[in-house]
Formats: sequence, structure tokens, C-alpha cells
Amino acid sequence: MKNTLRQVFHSSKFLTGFLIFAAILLTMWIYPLFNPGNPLEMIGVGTFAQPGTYFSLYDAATTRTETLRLPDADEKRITNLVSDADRAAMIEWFGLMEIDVSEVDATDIDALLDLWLEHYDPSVKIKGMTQARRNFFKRLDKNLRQIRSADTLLVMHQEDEELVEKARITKTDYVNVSEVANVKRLPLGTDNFGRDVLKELVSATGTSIVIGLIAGTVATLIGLTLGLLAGYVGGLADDIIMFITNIFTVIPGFVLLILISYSIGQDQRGASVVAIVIGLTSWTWTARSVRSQVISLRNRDHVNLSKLSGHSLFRIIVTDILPYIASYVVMAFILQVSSGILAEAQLSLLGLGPKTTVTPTLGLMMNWAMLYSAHTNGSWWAYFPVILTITLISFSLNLMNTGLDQVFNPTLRD
Amino acid sequence: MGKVILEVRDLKTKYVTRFREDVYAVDGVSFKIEEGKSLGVAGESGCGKSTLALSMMGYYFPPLHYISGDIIIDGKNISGLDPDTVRKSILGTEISYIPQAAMNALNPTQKIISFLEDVIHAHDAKADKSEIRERAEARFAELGLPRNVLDKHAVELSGGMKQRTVIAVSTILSPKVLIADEPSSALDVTSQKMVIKMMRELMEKGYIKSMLFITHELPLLYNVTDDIMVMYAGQIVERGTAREMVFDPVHPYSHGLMGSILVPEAGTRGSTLTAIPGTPPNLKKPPQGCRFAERCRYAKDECRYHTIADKPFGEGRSYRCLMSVDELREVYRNE
Repeated sequence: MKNTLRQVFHSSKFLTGFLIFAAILLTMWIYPLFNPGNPLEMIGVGTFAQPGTYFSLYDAATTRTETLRLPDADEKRITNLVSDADRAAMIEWFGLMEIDVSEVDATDIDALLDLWLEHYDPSVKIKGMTQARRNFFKRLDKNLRQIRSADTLLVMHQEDEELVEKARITKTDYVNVSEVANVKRLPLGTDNFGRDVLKELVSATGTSIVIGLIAGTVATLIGLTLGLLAGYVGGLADDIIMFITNIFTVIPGFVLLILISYSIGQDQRGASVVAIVIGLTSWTWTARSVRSQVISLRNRDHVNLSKLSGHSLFRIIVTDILPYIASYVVMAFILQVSSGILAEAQLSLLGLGPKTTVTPTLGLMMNWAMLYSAHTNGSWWAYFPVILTITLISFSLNLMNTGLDQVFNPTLRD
Repeated sequence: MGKVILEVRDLKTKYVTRFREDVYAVDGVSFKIEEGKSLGVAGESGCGKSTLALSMMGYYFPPLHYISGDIIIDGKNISGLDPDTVRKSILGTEISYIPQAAMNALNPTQKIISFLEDVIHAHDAKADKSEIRERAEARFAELGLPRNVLDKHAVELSGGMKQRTVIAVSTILSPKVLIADEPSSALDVTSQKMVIKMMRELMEKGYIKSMLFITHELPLLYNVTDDIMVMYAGQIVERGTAREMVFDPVHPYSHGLMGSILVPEAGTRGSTLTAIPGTPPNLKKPPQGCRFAERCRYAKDECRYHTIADKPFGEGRSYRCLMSVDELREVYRNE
């Protein structure tokens, strides 16, 4: 056992897969310790908030402010506030007024603003300009003047039907984020319902892996039992079992899965029910391959001698046959887990996954992202991390499987 | 005459093929082994030697089926018992078996001690592990096997060691009858010698009371066993003491078999071996008369139609041929 483990962990493929999977599992375990709470809690009213750090403006205003003397802070602020379209409009107006702008650089917003405040006159009428266009320039002027004004924002607080000044914010005030209450750091933003995507993702990964494990266990148990019986007992039992297995093989598994899920109904479909349904439809290949392995084993000498010494069917299978195919079964199990996770994702994407109110799964997250058009409105954070997680899980599991295959199957060793 | 330990009476077993055809692999075999004696069974491939061993062990799993006959060990008939009784009261104590391919007989995933535990637990469910270990160590030491073998897996042992371990495991409960099915055929000469020495020791120290030794190597039988019996097409064609069988075979088949032995002695180089032409009959439809008639050089027409019974002669010898002993000896002398 010790040597087998050493050999297994010596395989770089297995080790890589194992480390990726272990990292995912560790994240699932550690992240909720730092960020506890219900992953389906809606923390904001907005849909698809971008990744970033969020805090309440009210809280920020009442936090002690600091004045930072950053050399280019003002310029940067103004640059951000005047869009390219505004600049183009300003230059257009200068052109109409036949004011020479050749000396002013379009990127130098300070100079451009100076020029504007000096020359703009709302009463000037330009021939051929529509009323709407003139109103546009008036609005632009109003906005631009506000940028340059040294206004102060007053935060008022109502006390006994009287407004009391609470805070005064000037444009040179800054707030230290760490002192603001209720700061939400959302590395992956929020989804369509305003839920923290990262928190949801961690919880969903856990649920999906559990679904994969249950589906894999169910499929492997059924496949293993039927395969062992068919292979070892042979004869009529073999014929009957293989008949059933062949029927299940030719029925497209995914269609069966869809029909069963649909007929169960949304209310009864918990994560574990979906997992069991996936397991019940994907055991056929395990059964077939276990059977073929067992057939090659059942006439080994030590199996015959075990029979000769009167051991029971169960004991012969467990002690004489199972140890031979154990490595194979472990590999099949890993693949079943991986395909179980994928099947859940496919099923949920079609809206036939577990019910949506209890716990998120990777498939449900993709379903929500699709239903609320995350892919068309550019909210990549709602679905891309989910895809990446699914990919990483199946990649790591398949890598582990290949690594094990190389260890246990000497013909594949390099 | 010593006490008869094993008696087989008219044992008949058959294989049933995929197409429901019966193959009579052991067809009316009867013999006795006395206490302290060993009996060798010789014959070419497919003559029913191994099937005889399996039938005696009660290995009636498809395609092998029991037809009739009794196997009596020390006055107790063991044929037709249910597998569980056989496992608990017969195997290991009354009769034990050393398989043909001892190389693969041990489950490679278990340690040697667990086979011993299995054997002893089948008869004494209360036996405790340290007791079993003590017992096994004592027996292994007596048979010249190292003690550390007990904690090894089968793959860690050499071929000869594996074979000796198998013998030690199957005789741990001192069976009355030991059936050895080609125990030394896959071994080199040195290991072969050690295996044979070990089996002799088992007999001498009284751990086994009698032995049925199956092999196709006749010189080995001459050295190991007291009596030899030659099988052909599911029947015993001749039986006698080892010396008589090698130097004075009566049945034409035994005669041919003994003539085909290559003895590595001075002066034998260059001498031609006499082979028996032809192949054994198809046992799906055994010939009506003598089964060897097709290949027999001395066969007459009547050989093909007469059912030939086992004819006793001399001191406890018997043979199965239409011709008389004297006729046959005369024929051989004139060759």
C-alpha cells in the first residue's frame, strides 16, 4: 500500500491533477471561514455589478475624511469627468465660432476648458444650428462650469424636523476605505440577482463536487455489482444482465436524463436527487468494462482453487477478484465523478437541474447567467469563472485518471 | 496388506460442452491406496489425470459433472456431500490437493499467513491468530521453510519456494490423502528435488497417510511412488508396483509409454525413442471396444467390439487388454 501510494504520487500527471483538485477543495473549505453567510443572499439591488470594491456612499460621507495633496489628482479627476464626446463637441463649437484652436492640444483638458469658459456665450446665435443643438451646447456649458466650480457637498441629517449638517465634502476630500463601514469587496462582482458571484461560486463548486461524488458512487456501485455478477457467474445471469446493460447503452443517456429530470418536477429535484438520477443513467460503461475484466480473471488458478475450497460467491468476488480490478474501478470512479459534474452542468443549463432556491450549483449559475443575458451584455464575471472552475475540475480529475492509468498499466509507462 | 486409507469405486464424471455434448473424462475408475503408500498416475495429456484429481476433490462446477461412484476415505464416503460440509469437515483434514499450476495458486494480494488462517478457520472457527502463527511456524520450520515466508506475498517468493509453500499450506491439517497434481512439472531440477524431498518427508513424518501423485514424468514416478497406475482415455489400463510397471509393463499402451522415456545415461545418446502413433480417441464418442485399439500395434478385429474388463494378475496387479499376460510378454520379447 505504501509503495503503491509512493508510486502513484511519483507520477507527475497524477500529482498535478491532485494538486489542482486539492487547491479547489481547500478553497471550498477555507473561503467560507473568511466570508461566512448564505451564498444566495442578495447584497445589492443592481444586477451584474462589475468586479470591484463597493461601499455605501452614506457610510463613506460620515467617515472621517482626509485631504490628500496629490499633484495631479485634480487634473485626473477633470480628465475623467470630460468624455471624448464632450471634447469633440467643444472643438466643434470652436470651429463654428471660428476660434483658432490650433495652439490648444485636444488632450490638454485644462487649456481647452480655459478657452471654453473665456469664449462661450449662450446668447450667440449661429446660423443653421437647430434649437436642439443649441440646447445641447448650453447643457454642456453647465456641466463644464460645474467641474471648475469649487462646490462643497453638504451631508444633512434630519433631527426633530430640522436638517442638521452632518458632514461637508469638498472635492479635495478622500476617504480611507478601510475606515468605511460595510465595504463589499466583490472580486467577481455580482450576478443578475445582486449576489456575490465568488461566494456563490465557492458554494456551487462544493455542491457540484458532492453531486459528482454521489453520481459517481451510485454509477460505480451499480456498474461494479452488475459487472462482477455478469462476469463471474456467467451463463444465464450474464445474458440477462448484459441484455439490460445493452438496452441502457443504446438509449441515449442524456435524453433519458432529461426525461427523468423533467418528470420528477422542479419541487422534488434536490441536488442529491439529481445526482442519483445522473448515477442511475451512467453505469453502463462501468458494468461492461468490469465484466470484461472479470471474465479474464474468473479462470485464474487461484480463483478456481478458492472455488474448490468451498468459499462462497461473495467471498471469492471480494477477496480473489476485486483486488485485481480495484485500480481499474478507482479510475472508472474518478471518470464517473468528472462526467457527473459535467452532466449536472448540462442538465442545469437546460433548466432541469436542482431547484434554484436551496443551493447554487455550477450548472445553475450558468443557467442564470444565460437567462439574464450575461453573455450578450458583456458581464463575463457571471459565467466565465464558472466555466473555468468546471474546466479545472474535470481537467484535474482526468489528469489524475491518466496518471493512475500510467502507474497501474505498465504498457502505458514511458 | 495395510489398512486401506483411500478407496475409489467406479468413479464416473463428465464434462458437458457448450453444445450439450457429454465428454466422459473419468469413466469407471477404481483403485485403493493403503496406509503409508503412494500411488502414481501416469498418462498422456488429456487422458483424465487432472479430472480424476478434481473429481476426487469434489470440484463439481460446470462444465464438470458427477455421474456415479464413491470415494471412501478411512471408511467414510465423501462423494455427494454439500460444499459447506466438504469445506468444514473434509478438505484439509481428510483430503488435500496440490494444484497443477502452483505458481498461480496463491492469491497475489494476500500474505501467506492468511491462507493458513483460512484453512484452519474453516475447521476451527475459534482458532486465534497467534495460535495459528505458532502452529504454522512450527510446521514450516520442520519442513525446512524459512519463517519469514509467512509474512510475504506470493510474488515475493521464487517458483520452488512457492510450490513448497503451497504444499505446506495444503498439508497444515495433516490430511489422510494428499493429491499432488504435477507438483514439480514447472520447476527446475534443483527445486524439483526439494519438492520431492519435502513430499517424502511429509510421508515419513506421518503428516500425510497416503498420496496420489499425478505426473507425466515417468522416471519421477519410479523414484517417488510405491505403485504406478497408467490411465488412458478416462480409464485405468494397467496397475502395478513402480518397479514392475517400469521394467515389466504388460498393457501395450504402458509398454509404449515406458519405451518413450529418455533416460540421461551413458550409451543412450543416438538411440531412437519409440513413440506411440496416433492421437487419443474423442471422448465425446468413446470407441465401443478397447479404447486403445486404434493406436495399438497388436490390435485385432475383436478388440474393437469387445468391452474389456480390468483383469487382475500377479500380486495385486491388473491390466485391461484382450490378450493374456503371457501372450503379451511373448510379443514384446520377439520384437
